[in-house]
Amino acid sequence: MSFAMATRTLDNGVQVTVSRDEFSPGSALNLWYRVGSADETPGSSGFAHLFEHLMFAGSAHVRGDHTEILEALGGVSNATTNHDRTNYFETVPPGALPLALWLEADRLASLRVSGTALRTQRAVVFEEKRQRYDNQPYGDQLELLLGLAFPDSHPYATPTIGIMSELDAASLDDVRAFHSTWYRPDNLHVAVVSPQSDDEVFHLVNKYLGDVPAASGPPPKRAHLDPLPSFSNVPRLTVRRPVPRSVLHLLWRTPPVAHPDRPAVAVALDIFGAGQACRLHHDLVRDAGMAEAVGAGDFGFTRGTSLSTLTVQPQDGVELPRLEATIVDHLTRLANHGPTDAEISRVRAQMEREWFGGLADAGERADAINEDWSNWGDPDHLNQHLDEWLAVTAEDVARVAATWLGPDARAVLEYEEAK
Amino acid sequence: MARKPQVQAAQPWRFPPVDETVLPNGLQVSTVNLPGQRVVTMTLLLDVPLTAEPRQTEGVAALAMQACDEGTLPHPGSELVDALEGCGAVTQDAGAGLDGSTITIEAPASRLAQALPLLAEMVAEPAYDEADIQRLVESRLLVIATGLVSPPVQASKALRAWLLPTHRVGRLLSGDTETVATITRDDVVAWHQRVAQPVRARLVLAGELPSDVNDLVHGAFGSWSPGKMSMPEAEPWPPVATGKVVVVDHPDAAQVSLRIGTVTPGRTSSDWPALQVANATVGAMFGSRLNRVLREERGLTYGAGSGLTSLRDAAFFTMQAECRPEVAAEATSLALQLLDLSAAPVTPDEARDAIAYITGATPLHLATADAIAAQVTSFALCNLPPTWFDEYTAAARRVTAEDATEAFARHIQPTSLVVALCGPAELLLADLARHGIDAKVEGRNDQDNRRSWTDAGV
Repeated sequence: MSFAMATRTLDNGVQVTVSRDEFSPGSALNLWYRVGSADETPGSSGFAHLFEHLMFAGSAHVRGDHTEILEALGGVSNATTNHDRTNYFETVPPGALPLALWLEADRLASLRVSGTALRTQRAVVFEEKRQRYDNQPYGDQLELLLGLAFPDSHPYATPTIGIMSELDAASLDDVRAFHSTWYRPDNLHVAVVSPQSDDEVFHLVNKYLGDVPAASGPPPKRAHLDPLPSFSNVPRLTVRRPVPRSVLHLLWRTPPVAHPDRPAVAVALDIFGAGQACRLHHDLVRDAGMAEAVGAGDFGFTRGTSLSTLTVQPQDGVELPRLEATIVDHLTRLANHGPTDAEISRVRAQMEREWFGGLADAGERADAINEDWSNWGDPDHLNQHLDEWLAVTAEDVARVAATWLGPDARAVLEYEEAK
Repeated sequence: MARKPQVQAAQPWRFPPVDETVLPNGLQVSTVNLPGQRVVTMTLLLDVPLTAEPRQTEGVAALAMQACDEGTLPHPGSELVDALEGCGAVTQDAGAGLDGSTITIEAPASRLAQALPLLAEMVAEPAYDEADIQRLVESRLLVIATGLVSPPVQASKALRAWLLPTHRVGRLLSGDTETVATITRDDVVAWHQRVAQPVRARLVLAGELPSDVNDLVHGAFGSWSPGKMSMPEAEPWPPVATGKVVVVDHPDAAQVSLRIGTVTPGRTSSDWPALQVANATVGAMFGSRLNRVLREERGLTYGAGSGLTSLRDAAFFTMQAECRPEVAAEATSLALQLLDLSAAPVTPDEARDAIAYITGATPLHLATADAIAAQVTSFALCNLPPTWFDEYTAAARRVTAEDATEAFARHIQPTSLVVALCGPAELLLADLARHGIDAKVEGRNDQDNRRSWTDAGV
């Protein structure tokens, strides 16, 4: 199964991919500006995300009610920022697609932010950090993992939400400069998944976003991040927190998203830690009674180095060093012997479900098109993505387990319950 | 810059057709064919009220569902998850609500024929191994313990407990520490034998379905023995506590969790469309009054909103926001003012926007198989026919601003609301008093205190 796609570049540099979906009840519009928190200047951590809030604060013909206008037409709208990109998206009844495009064009062409809006949204971001991190049990794990994995000055070392004392210094001049540097037509990629014909959608995108004047000068240059070497000597961080149960994280520096080894790393991580049939659940949770829960994850960084994790929460009374030693045995075993045929078959079947489930919604699919476009330089890579995962062999898994996920290449975060 | 475009009116969206059949053993089956949806969601619903749980083992209903994928008689131990996950399926959710218990799995549409019989086994023939039950008990106890250090969880729990101190729904639906700790394998087996009968069950399937889907269902579930059972009817809802402000002390909280709520009529009520239109004006949208004032104008919170969650015989209205401790009393005072619609009725423009949002955005959230399956399941839980959704949106279009204000003011009166806050109590009590709000600190494990509150409240 493949998704039909057509791609064009507008005269002002905006790049557009259209994918028709006759069954979708709405039109999904998805914009990626290729700037994230890793592109911030040192000392202004958190600014890219604060700026994303300010993109809703008003423009030449919109008085700061972007979301409200779309809601009143039966649409939904939001935006997110991560280290590598900022996305803005709306899903609207098809008849409201022109208006959604007009709203996006207006804030690209003419953002207008007042001092009051800056102060208010800064306060909102402070509350966002408290709500999502500071007031949650285990809420500082992200900050600790990134701090352990990357050198202090590295753009991935700080969570996207940033450092609040640095946000205090943000000024309206900073807002204007960030907009003119990064928010320009030739740094914008647009994906539309919609029931309308391709021609109709291209016409509408060109009419509104194509009307934004081209930027002068060369497009912005993003920070190039060299790959970091694997960890050596097992870097270890131990913290104590008022939580009811400890958590153990093992982490590895792994290749970035578009690296050829990524599919095999993803399969290896799933064999260790995805679902209830995975090795760690089977052995540590079910058979040995050592772990309460296990998980595997990857941060999906796109430049130089990504970060993969295995996470285990012990059962009551099980010490973290004992858990860690058991996981190290597992790592060695996978590298030496590879996975079984049944494991490969299971992970493939799971990936098929996750893939199609993740693309079931038009808005999610439009975002996935932009993600593959950004990472592989081709929106149509989305149609090969699953095949690349399904092509991973047992030998590939054994190789990447030894290359990228070896016991000696791990770092360890011991997040201990304060007794 | 191109001129601001006109918007073409949306075609009214219709809920996809739901085919309903009944197997000879009594199992009701709802199927929704959704072309293009390559992952099928399968939910098995047991129509059993949580009030039928024994008081001393509350949580057994949820545990009985959660343990279904830990092994079955045909696939003991890990053989079950090996088979389930081996065909690309996964358990998405399992648990118990007030009106029924559910287990939901998803599978690639191409593997439906392999996944369906496994779901049937899980429900009809779970092994309930002693060690697995003990592990899930421990797991549930850890979830509860983690909630005890989470201010948002504590505030939500306190609101329910104070609204309905004597009813099952006022206590944690998956059981609390004291009850879960006592649950044994025998309790789980006894509960399962009592409730897991096809005559009280419904299977919901949504996604791209094959033409022989009914044959597949019959093959998988046809041999499930009808059994016999007598299930007590659900307990009626008791009167709801009113007009209380309670604080759960959490001295180190980085934010105060604010919850304001009451109980209203549910989806079966003719007031429901008007209540929803009013709630959209007050708190369901980004541009609703609560979020506009508390977030966009005042910067007090990352988000403030309200929602109506319908059960079979009633609904919960809940307002929520998280804000830094020093502004929590101000946020509480503002929220209470904004919930008083008699002082500031819904305007015709607000009603128009709210109706457009409800009738336009709701279908956008129902574009996937899992969302459709969840809706069909909730219709069944509320004893509503699948045609209900289209009737509801048609009724919502007819709601006037006056209807919305009147329904909200009648069912969500400012004096009836219960307010629960979790955060530093000393600061909160003093600040709330300055805003003219009289609050009390909830005593930890202080049953006498709770009882006197209840008596005063109802």
